[in-house]
Amino acid sequence: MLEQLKAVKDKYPDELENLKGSYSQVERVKKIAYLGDMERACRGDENLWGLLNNLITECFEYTRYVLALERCLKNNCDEKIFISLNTEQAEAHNAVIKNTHILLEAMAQKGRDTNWSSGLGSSQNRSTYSWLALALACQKMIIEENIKI
Amino acid sequence: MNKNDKEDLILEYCELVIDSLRSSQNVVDSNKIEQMRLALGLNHNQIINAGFSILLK
Repeated sequence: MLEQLKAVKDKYPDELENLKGSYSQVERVKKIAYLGDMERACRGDENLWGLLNNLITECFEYTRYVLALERCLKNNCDEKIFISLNTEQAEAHNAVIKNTHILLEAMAQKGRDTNWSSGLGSSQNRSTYSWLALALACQKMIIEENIKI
Repeated sequence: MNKNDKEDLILEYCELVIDSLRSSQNVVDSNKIEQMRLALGLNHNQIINAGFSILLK
């Protein structure tokens, strides 16, 4: 399994040198799910705001494992470590899906705008939730930088 | 710094930023984050952009 994944991940676009001054990924992820729209739809309701923050926490957790796995592959880490990270990532992925649906149901019950979820599909379509998690984490990391770091 | 080392540093930077944002305490060394920015020659948003460019390829 590790060798197959390594083969897939061998080719990276050679674009790092072109990134200075470019925020293209941030613009790209906003098209997947724009955090600003989700925050606007939850604003003014303490429960919804809490559920959105729970989802973002799970997105960070998932993204942390995606980053660790990527580094693991690039650095030829031990296969046992890889399998352990992969299992934990799958659990974090499940938590993203679960928390997305908890938020969606609560928003729908309160008549809030849920258009941000239109591209997600069913819980079985796990890859779209992966994109959602990475998109929200990316936007939150950009936003929070000015506040905390 | 070769391309692989640079990408690894970018991904490690993203990990540290997430650790920092997840923690209510300042457990992440801000000096280390600053040193990584200097080594990469990019600002925070550019590094995050580069990190997600690797993840979202």
